[in-house]
Amino acid sequence: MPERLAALDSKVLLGIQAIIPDCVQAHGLLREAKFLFRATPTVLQELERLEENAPEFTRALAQNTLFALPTWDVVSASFTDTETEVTEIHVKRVIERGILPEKNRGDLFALIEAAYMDCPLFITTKEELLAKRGDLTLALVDICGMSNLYIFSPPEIVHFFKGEG
Amino acid sequence: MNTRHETRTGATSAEVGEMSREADKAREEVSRMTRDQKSELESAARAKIRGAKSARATCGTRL
Repeated sequence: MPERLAALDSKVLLGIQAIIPDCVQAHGLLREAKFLFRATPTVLQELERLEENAPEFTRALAQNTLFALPTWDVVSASFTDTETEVTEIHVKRVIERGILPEKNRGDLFALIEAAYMDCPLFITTKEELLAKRGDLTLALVDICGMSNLYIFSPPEIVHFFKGEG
Repeated sequence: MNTRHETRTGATSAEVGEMSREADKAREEVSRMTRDQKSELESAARAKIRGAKSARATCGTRL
């Protein structure tokens, strides 16, 4: 059976560490369904940035999240320079196409990196990504030439994988 | 090393609010960084992950 992969966005990982019920349940249900997890390079960079600069609670949360990733079956591979360059080009093209504005540049980095990591699922709490998920999935296929990547929130994952969907 | 919160069983809504705002801020800041700055952050994060794995392997305990 091929690996089933889901990319977890920064706030979802922090939410698991903070024991936010939707985040913990979504991760647990996907784990039961034999998913493995990915944290993209952008997500790792953000967690480290928080660990260096955030107020005390968030700093401790970010640090403990980084420490806990392997125990949550979350892996993060490094990108080559070429992969990073191509990701930057794709982010620019999606912004130029008007699907999301420049202020969502970081969101697009995380999303496109997840597609590069062959994740069919990107789990996020980011409203802008969730609101534009149809266009973003098509943009990944059309602009970036990537396989389908579907964007869902933790409550949506819980609803579906608990058999309520 | 700050480990004060490791045994917490949950966060208050104020703490969750702080985490959410700070995470949004970090996303914006990181997205404006140079490739070298991002690379430094990523290396530091990977070193922490490796350190935690190594500590677990040595002690046989979860951090």
